[in-house]
Order: sequence, then C-alpha cells, then structure tokens
Amino acid sequence: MARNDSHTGAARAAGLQADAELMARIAEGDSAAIAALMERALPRVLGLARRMLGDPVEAEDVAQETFERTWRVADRWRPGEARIETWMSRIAINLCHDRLRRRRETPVASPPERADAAPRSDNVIAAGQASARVIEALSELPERQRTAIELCHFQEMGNIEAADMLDISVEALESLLARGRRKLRELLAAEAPELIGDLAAPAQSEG
Amino acid sequence: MDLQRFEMLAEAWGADLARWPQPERDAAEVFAGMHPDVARRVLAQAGTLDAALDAARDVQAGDLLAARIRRAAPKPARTLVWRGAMAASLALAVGLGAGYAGAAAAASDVDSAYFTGVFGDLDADWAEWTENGA
Repeated sequence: MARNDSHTGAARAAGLQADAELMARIAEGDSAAIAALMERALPRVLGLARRMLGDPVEAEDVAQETFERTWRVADRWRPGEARIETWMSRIAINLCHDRLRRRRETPVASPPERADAAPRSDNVIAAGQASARVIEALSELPERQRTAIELCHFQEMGNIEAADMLDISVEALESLLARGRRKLRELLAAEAPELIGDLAAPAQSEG
Repeated sequence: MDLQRFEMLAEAWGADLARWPQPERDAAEVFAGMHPDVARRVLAQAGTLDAALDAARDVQAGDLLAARIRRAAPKPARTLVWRGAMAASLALAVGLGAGYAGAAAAASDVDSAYFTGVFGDLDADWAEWTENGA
C-alpha cells in the first residue's frame, strides 16, 4: 500500500510538473501547447457548463471566459496542489454559480429550463445523442440536485468538500444526490429508455 | 451496515465504492461480501445510471467557439514585435501620408489663389472688351 501511495504521489507530482511546463509554453504563445490544452480541457469545461446551465449559448460563454482566465494566469502558473483541468473546473463552476444566481435575482430574464427550448449552438449539434439526452434530463432537475450531481459525480469531489461548496451538511448532500439521481433515472427511463433500460424503478429494500 | 443503508449509498454515490464516503467503505465491502447477489443487483442498477451520466461528461466544442478561445490566447513574442513594427510602420505611413496631403492641399490652395487672381483679372478684361466692342 505504501508503495502504491508513493507511486501515486510520484505520478501526481509528475503531472503537476508537466502542467507547469505546458503553461509556461502557453505563456510564450506556443500554438501547439495552446492546442493541447484546448483539446484536453475544452470538452470537459464545456460539458460542465452545459450540465450546470442547461443553456448552450451561456455554456459557450462560460467556457470562453474560463479559457481567457487560464490564458491570463499562464505566465504565473506554478506547480501547486491542483492540475490545470481541476483549476479550470473550479473557475467554470464559480462562473456558472454567478450566472445561476443572476438568473434567480432576475427571474424575468432567466432562460428556459429545458435545453431544447434554448437556442441551439454548434456544440449541441456536435454532441452525441446520448449526451444531449442526459444533459436535457439533468436540466430538468432542481438546481441544487443538479449541482450536487455535478460536484460529486462529474468533478469527483468528496462529500465534505462538496457539502462545503453547497453550504449544507453531509447528510443533506447525500439526500440531494439520492433524490437527484432517482429523478434522473425516472426521466431517462421515460425519455431515453435505451440509455437506462428497465432499471427505472429505484432499488427496493429487501430487508 | 444493512441493505437500506447500502442502497442509499449506491443511490447517492453510484456503483463505484471508491467514491463512497471513506468511513463507510469498509462496512459496505463487508456487506457486499456477505450478500453478493443483492449487492451486485444494487450496484448494477447504480452503475447503469453512472454510465448514462458518463455519456454527458464531455461536450465537443464547435469551430467558432474554438476559434474565439484561440484568438484570446497568448501570442508569441516575435508576433508581438512584428505587430509592433507593423503598427509603427503604419503610423509612419499615415504620418507621411498626412504630411503629403497637407502639403498638397496647401500647394493646391496657393495654385488656386494664383489662378483665381489671373482669371479674375481676365474676367474683368473680358467684360471691359465686351463693353468696348458693344
């Protein structure tokens, strides 16, 4: 186990160092480095924003702003605790939170909740059918359930970190997650049964 | 751990026990070892939803978005120097052009004044000649 931990630690340190070198090249305007980061991080950041916001146009704006902030810090990037993608995900989550808060404060101007009622952009057309259906189902969840699933499933945060971010208890987080996933299963079973099969009903206790 | 708790954790955290809260993983593994069929069914159900979610993990960006992001990226230093030189050249050209245009306009005004004077006099002469002729 100690050897595994040591190996994992060494791999992580190497990853952080590689990130620092990549950012140094980006700061110098190296087009290959810029393309490499875009290839590895843009689908992830755009996916996060699409799931969080539901609206494809707003998601593109968040992805663009996240990258612009990344470009701005490239010359100051040092190997730290977080990989580039993790750092970018945090930026994107905060940007999405800001937009969601503004939606709540100005409900008249809020976009439609269902993704299919929003203007379509080329990223949606390019997205796979399964992906589009899952994103659509996610957009129908209450915001806090959707955010809980985003943080815990997609961003792989632990329960304490995610609960802190949502400013709720760990128990409340677990409840949000369970309700969100149960609702999602029902939605997918109704709208995309090929994705979820005959597993629509939540597990029933046998004892 | 009982089945109800095992199901609740699977419902909340999915099929991968490594993602479950650390303090409950050992107990969950013990439960799965004692009730393998039930555990397999519960985890399979959670795993189906995990797989569906994973289908939406990445969204491919369109060319327009990628171009916008690329345009905002840092530029190589030589590009900046080249652009600076181009800007300086352009400013110089504009300056020279403006100077030339100003000089030309000034010359044009002088010429215009000169010719107006000449032909102004000519008009007077012509009028005088006409009157005399009439």
